Amino acid sequence: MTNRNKNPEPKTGSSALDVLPQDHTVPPATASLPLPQQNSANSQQSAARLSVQESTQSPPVLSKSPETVVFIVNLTLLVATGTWLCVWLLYYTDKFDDFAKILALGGGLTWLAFLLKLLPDERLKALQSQLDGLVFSRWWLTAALIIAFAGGLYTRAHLGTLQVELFQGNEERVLTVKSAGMPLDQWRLMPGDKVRIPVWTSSIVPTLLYAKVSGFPDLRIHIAPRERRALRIPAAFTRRVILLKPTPALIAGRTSDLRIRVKLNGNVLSGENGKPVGDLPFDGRPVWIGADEDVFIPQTILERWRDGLPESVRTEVMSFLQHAGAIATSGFDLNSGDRVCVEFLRRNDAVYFRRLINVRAMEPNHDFPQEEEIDDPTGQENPPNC
Amino acid sequence: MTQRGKKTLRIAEVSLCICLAMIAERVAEAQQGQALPVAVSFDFTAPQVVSFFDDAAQRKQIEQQINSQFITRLQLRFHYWTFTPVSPDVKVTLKLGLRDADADTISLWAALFSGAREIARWEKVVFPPGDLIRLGMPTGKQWLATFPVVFDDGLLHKHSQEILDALKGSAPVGKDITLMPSAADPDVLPRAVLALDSSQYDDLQDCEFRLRYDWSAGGKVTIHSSGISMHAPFAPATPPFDGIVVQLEQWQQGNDTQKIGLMRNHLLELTPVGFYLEAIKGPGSD
Repeated sequence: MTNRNKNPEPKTGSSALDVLPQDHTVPPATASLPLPQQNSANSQQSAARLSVQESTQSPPVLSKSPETVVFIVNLTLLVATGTWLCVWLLYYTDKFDDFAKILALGGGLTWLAFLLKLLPDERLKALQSQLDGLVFSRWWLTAALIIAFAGGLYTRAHLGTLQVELFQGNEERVLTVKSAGMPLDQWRLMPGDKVRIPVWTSSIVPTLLYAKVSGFPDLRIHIAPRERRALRIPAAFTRRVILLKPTPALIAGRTSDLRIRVKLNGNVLSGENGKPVGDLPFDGRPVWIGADEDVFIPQTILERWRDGLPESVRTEVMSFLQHAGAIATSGFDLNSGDRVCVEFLRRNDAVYFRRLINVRAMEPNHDFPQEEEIDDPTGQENPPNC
Repeated sequence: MTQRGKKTLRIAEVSLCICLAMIAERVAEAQQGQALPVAVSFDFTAPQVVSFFDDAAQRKQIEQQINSQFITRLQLRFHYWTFTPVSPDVKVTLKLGLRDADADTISLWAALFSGAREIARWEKVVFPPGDLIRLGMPTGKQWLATFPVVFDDGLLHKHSQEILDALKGSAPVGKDITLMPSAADPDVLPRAVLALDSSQYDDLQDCEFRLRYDWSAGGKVTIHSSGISMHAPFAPATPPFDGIVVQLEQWQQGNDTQKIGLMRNHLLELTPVGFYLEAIKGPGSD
């Protein structure tokens, strides 16, 4: 790192990279750049001075001088902090590659790397020596590193990560993550893609995230500090929801201005803003309860529906059954044992029919929607109380 | 209630009865010379359709309007009878309704009843498979626009002769018949005047009729007769009108058929029950 044996301290002051005057009692940690115009006289003077300095100092280089101690401390801190940062970036974020690129002077720093290559090795070494003297062997760097380390610890104690991976499927999906009703961002996930989203949180009140992958029910997840919550699409996003499937007769009755009202465990549903969810006009489509409208009906269900229809009406009916509407703009959790009351109301608010549905637990190897067929109320004399 | 109050109430009751009697007489006068009624009744009998009406009152209102449409069309095509809404004293009824054959097919059916006995039934698909899904269940006013076409094309036009035959067989055109005085010439067949206003039913003046009587000797007698393009005053009517004159041709009781000349002496022993249209014929047709 030092070159004091080769390059005596110049006094010319002509170069911007000249070494600052050093205390004679402390060996200089830095050296000036070798200057070609230095004459032989200067060289002799420098050599003489150097021999004097060497004779007065012992041990010469790795003595436990304060600067060396500072350097060792700083180096230790730098190694620890940098390694810790790299590990953190690697585990909690998907920005490590970018970070590594910066360290390797890639990307936007390529020009800098190019310029540095243009410089002669001697100047580079002199630059490094100056950096060593001005930065690495200074207590202020120690202080800065300690502060940064403390800041990092604090930050780590308040950061968690949501990791979403498109594990199965061959379609692109859009991931939306919101916190406290504010949209964070959207990510496009190709098959095999993975995204890690750091979230500011606390151990007292873990942050509640709303995560939505296009085509699947939305999720509400609490992220704790230092947690990396890994969600795989589709398994993690297939929670229990109810799918109301209208019969052909009921689809035909969509022109009768029927409205759907849903109660959960006897209570009127509330939206994100806390206001009651309005009635949904019935337009002949299936209806999600517990999911938003942007949820696909599993292909197995669609095929079963198609096969169960008479051929004469298959096309017409399936044109209504392909895509479902939703009671609410965002989903809500349904738990096993919940009672969902579905009412179809007429124009005059009279009950056309009422159906009480008990939410069942999800079964392995079954589709996530709990399918419930709804028909016109022929013969329903005593609708259930909800 | 005081004695005076009771008296006042009694007077009011009597006055009301007199008024009702006068109205009934007026109605009866207006109906004299008219063909007998055939009741028409339409109900949305298909449960699937019925369920989509907001309430029963709304459905009844639509049903009445559709019934009126059917009556108008039946009257235009089969004016030999008077088609009316259902009333208790009308024996023959044409009932119409909807049937959801499958969940996706709606048919209009019509059945002719004599009392409780079904005479004949016809059916026409209103919404073939897929149509109801594609178009949606009609609302009240849409039903009013849907039925006339289906009824005209699908039932009245397609099954016109069948309906006519069923009506001829079961629905009397009229009830009252008066025998005309016997002609001096024994070769002239006895004649009768049917209580049908010839000015309204002039196209029936050459038709064949089946006259039904109670015979004092027991049982019922059917006399087959033919119009002779003649009309004569129907005497019992007030005010009188010209009825259609038919000549009596055959006497039938059970399977025993006689020429009318042989039974001429028994004609006065008959009490008319009603007469039926047997064959529609124009002037000079066989």
